[in-house]
Amino acid sequence: MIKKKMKIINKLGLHARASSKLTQLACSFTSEIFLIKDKNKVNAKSIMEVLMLAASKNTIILVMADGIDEKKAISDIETLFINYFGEGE
Amino acid sequence: MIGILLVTHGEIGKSLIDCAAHILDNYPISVESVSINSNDDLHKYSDIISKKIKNLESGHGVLIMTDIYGATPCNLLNKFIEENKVEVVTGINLPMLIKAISDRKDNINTLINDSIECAKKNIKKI
Repeated sequence: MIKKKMKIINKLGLHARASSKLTQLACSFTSEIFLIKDKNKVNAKSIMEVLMLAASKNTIILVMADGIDEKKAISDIETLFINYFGEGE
Repeated sequence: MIGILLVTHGEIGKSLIDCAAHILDNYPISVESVSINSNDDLHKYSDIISKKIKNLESGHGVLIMTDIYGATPCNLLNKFIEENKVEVVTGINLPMLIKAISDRKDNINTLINDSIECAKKNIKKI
């Protein structure tokens, strides 16, 4: 299992479309992937669970991946965070 | 895949589908809608709904979502209900629809329970 803290840097935070991108990316891996914010732990493959985090800009999310492709999962998810979820700002 | 059909007052269903498609981006949506105008001859809707159900049925059943329990769109649907094949849920909201589309199980009863649970969970006082 790999855990890594990631910061949300895009202007709108983990809103609906950003959550959808994250979910679709997470679903492309066989590993189990979870997001943790404070005491809330959600399945990164379920958009409606991800949205329940209501995570705004500058929130730190702990991303956990467990499985055969966990390393690539964490790496690709981190890239998505760094790239503002593809939103430009 | 379980078919999903929205039968609602006016354009609510179409708008919900547009919003879900916008949020889910490239995700395959495969949802249809029927807009009910209660001033129209209601008999025509039975044929439209029946055809839509047939089009959506691929062997796993069809889940119909409507808005208000006891209202005209809901009442039109009673005759289409077949246990475990064509089921109806009321109180549709956007979270319910997105949950159903994005987490579409092969078991219609699981899909119904998950969708209703998600719809309720998203009604909150902030």
